[in-house]
Amino acid sequence: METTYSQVAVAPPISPAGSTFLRVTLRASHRSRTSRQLYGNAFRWDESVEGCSSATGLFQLALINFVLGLLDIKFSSLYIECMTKTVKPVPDDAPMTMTLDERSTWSYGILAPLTTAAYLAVVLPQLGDTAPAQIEWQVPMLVAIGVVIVGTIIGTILSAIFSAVRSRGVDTEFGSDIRDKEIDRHGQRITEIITGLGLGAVIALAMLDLDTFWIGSAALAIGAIGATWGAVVKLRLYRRSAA
Amino acid sequence: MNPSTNVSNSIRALRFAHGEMTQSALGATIGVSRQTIMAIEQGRYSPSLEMAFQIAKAFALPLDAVFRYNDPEL
Repeated sequence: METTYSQVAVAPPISPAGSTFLRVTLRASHRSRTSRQLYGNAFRWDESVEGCSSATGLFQLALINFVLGLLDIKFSSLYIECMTKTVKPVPDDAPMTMTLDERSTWSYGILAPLTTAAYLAVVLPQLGDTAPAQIEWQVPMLVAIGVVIVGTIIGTILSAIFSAVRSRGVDTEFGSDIRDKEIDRHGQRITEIITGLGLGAVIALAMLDLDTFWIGSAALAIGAIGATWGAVVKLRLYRRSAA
Repeated sequence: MNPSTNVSNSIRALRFAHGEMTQSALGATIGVSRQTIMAIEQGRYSPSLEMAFQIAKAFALPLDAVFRYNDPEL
């Protein structure tokens, strides 16, 4: 068992004198043969790596990188270091794994339609014997949204860990690079078009003075359609550019 | 993003000519994933101009020694 020292430092992209500097230091004791650095959202491997083989270490790195990705910290002095003794190149014929962004896309691309369908399955049957204004739709909607957010995070991390453990850490991508960002931009554009058009429908419902049940449910459904279709577009691009 | 491209490259041959450099090692040099290097190699993804220069620099070669544009009108 080797001891691996992991350190994360985060600074704003531009650090004027006296600006706040957030430093987080983590210590993880796990077996690893990795030597790598993370700049921005992209891992830059100092040398070819075999990867961390500890689920604990992988979880930490994945979680940190995911949170930093949400904060969209770029070109900063962010770095993650795993100092190790041995490195081993990843062979070209090693199984190709997904990047973290692709895993995240799969997670919410599945969860968004499922949770929205579950929400509709809970509230719509109530219309038979209950007036829309009397339907308790707020809590089911919050649960549906929460499941998508938390589920996406957990699903992405667990998927990465499972893949890394299965491949014994040979090929695990925790970062996102420029290709991920280009694909993400494309998917986001589709999502924005759909949700933008849907926003017009929601405004129309409000103008018609319909019950908030209809307005809220329509907004959720449109958001889910936009997110799902954006995810489908992204996954198609990932598959088309993959081997 | 346009996965199909008219840009071909010699990255695979150059990697092997440079000590059988792996895709992951080349990706590490320029800060992208192995998946991206593979997509570029297979002509399924056009790198940005900056990334193309970085790849050429990794092989210590000029850009046009690594990438070629195949004009579809010719």
